[in-house]
Amino acid sequence: MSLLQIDQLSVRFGATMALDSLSLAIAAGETLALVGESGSGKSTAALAIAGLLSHQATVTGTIRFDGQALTDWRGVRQGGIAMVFQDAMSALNPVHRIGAQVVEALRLPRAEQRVAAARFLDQVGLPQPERLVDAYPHELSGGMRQRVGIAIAVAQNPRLLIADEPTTALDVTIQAQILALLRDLKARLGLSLLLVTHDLGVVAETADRVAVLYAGCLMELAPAAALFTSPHHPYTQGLLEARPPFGTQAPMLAELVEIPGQLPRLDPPPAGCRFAARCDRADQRCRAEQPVLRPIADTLVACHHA
Amino acid sequence: MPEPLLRLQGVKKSYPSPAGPVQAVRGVDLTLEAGERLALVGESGCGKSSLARLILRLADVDAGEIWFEGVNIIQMSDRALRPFRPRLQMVFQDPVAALNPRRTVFQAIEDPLRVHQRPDRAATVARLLAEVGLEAGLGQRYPHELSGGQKQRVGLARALALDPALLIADEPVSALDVSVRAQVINLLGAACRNRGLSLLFIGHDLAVVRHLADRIAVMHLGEIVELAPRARFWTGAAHPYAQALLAAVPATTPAEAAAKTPFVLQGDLPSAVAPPAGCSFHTRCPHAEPRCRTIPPPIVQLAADHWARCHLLTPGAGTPSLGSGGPAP
Repeated sequence: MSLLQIDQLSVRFGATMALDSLSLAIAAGETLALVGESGSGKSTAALAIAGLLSHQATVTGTIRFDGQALTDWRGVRQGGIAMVFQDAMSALNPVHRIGAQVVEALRLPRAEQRVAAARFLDQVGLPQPERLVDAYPHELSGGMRQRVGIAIAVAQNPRLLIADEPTTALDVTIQAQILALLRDLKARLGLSLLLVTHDLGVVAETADRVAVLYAGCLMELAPAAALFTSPHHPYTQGLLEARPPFGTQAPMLAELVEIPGQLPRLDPPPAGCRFAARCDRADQRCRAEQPVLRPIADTLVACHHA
Repeated sequence: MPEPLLRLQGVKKSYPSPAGPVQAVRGVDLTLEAGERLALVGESGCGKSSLARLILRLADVDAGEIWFEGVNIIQMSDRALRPFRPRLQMVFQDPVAALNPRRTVFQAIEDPLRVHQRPDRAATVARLLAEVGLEAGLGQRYPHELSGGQKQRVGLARALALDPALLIADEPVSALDVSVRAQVINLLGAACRNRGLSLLFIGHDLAVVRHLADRIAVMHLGEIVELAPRARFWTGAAHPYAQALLAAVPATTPAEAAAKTPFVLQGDLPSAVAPPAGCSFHTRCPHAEPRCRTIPPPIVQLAADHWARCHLLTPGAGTPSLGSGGPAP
């Protein structure tokens, strides 16, 4: 049975359709990457799962965690689900010491707090954890702050860790450290990981399965290896081809392959396939009828032409 | 030998901070030829953006010389500098912050032309809009009505308006969505090719750098630690820090990720207030020896156009045997 099961989840903010009928599941111990650009709905989906949607959001559909339906879209998820944010500086309270923030949600007796905080800081690979519990966020580097953000999440003993662009604000050298830490924690604690990202390199390094979102719709859901070797959706193909090649054997191109046009507005979203305006295969049907997900091998694809 | 378009010699700059002076740029020598595309890479805080600001005279150097088109622009008054300003232009990382929200696209691109009293401004703006792939009708729009990619096109049109010789682009595509990034990279490449423009590209995405740059300068804690042409850098980066940066680039496919030897640089960039003695990279270098902790490393010439600052390299030896970027056994 899946640890997390999302069925027909839609989220609106007024006239804006941020997420349109998302259905997917995450198995225990699995890393699922939610890939998309701005406005794809990837963060909206993550916030709905974490119970952090704003009051403006109108939600339909269901999310089941460990068999239990989550009904509150704006309440702290007790037990089981924790989240790591993109910007660790604004996720941390600047006037509270690191240690207090790590164990804040645990309601421990005062005497046990320091030791517990130091233990969680140690778990995420921070040096001298006994000293760090007394530090303030501004005394730490960006990479260290993100480790503290992960320690706060780990302290809640989660079974599902949601990481929303956890390395986007970091340098590549530090990104490599944080990705290694997430992989290590997942293996050590048996976590499921929902990784929200726009970066296909991060996906290649970490994901077991990949869900590609575009303008609020799930376009393709595939095992990571299959997605990179044989993408079916024209949008996925475009994303992979538009990357500058890298590696000692990679070719030098005169020009990069472009995806023409720009992201559509979602207030309201265009009729038919959301990607039709930018797709070279689009025809009359694509502009009128929204494609539904259908299986091709071990992949699900929402495209009339795939 | 003819004077290059841009020549930096011993450029230094520090900024005051409560903890003491932050040594942002610690003695940079660099040249850029006309039509050349040079990339400056390194972690945040390494001084690459500070260096760009010094070249544009948005800040004044503490020491050193900056020669542009054969003239040392360091001592020049603002008035004397004015004829040079159009020749040096910049594209910023955040296209939202770079545009005035109350000026239309047309006005934003026209402003530099007006300031420098150029004739036929409307025609020039129309030509620039076409060059960056924007419809003429967009001229009447305001920045908030544009997408991120369109805003960055406006930023580029504005930078090209005065027909510069050198374009400095500081992370110009980092804030853009993946699907429009390639468009802007192609546009930047085309502008350089078609106009014979020199480009100083500041970026942390090495795949983009590999695509755009003829030469690569790796910066660490205010110093250039390696300088190499594209043909040598991507296969034979010599400095351990350059190798670490290359190793940190995420794999392009899961298969590649599984095949690659995991190598993660430990620790953070050291403080620029108190840079480590000796080699500034020794605190993180997997190959560091005792001398690296005390003696500043020499510049080692690996080929005529390729050098690195490292004790462990041998002149003329080409690519060193430091291993493939992994830690020493």
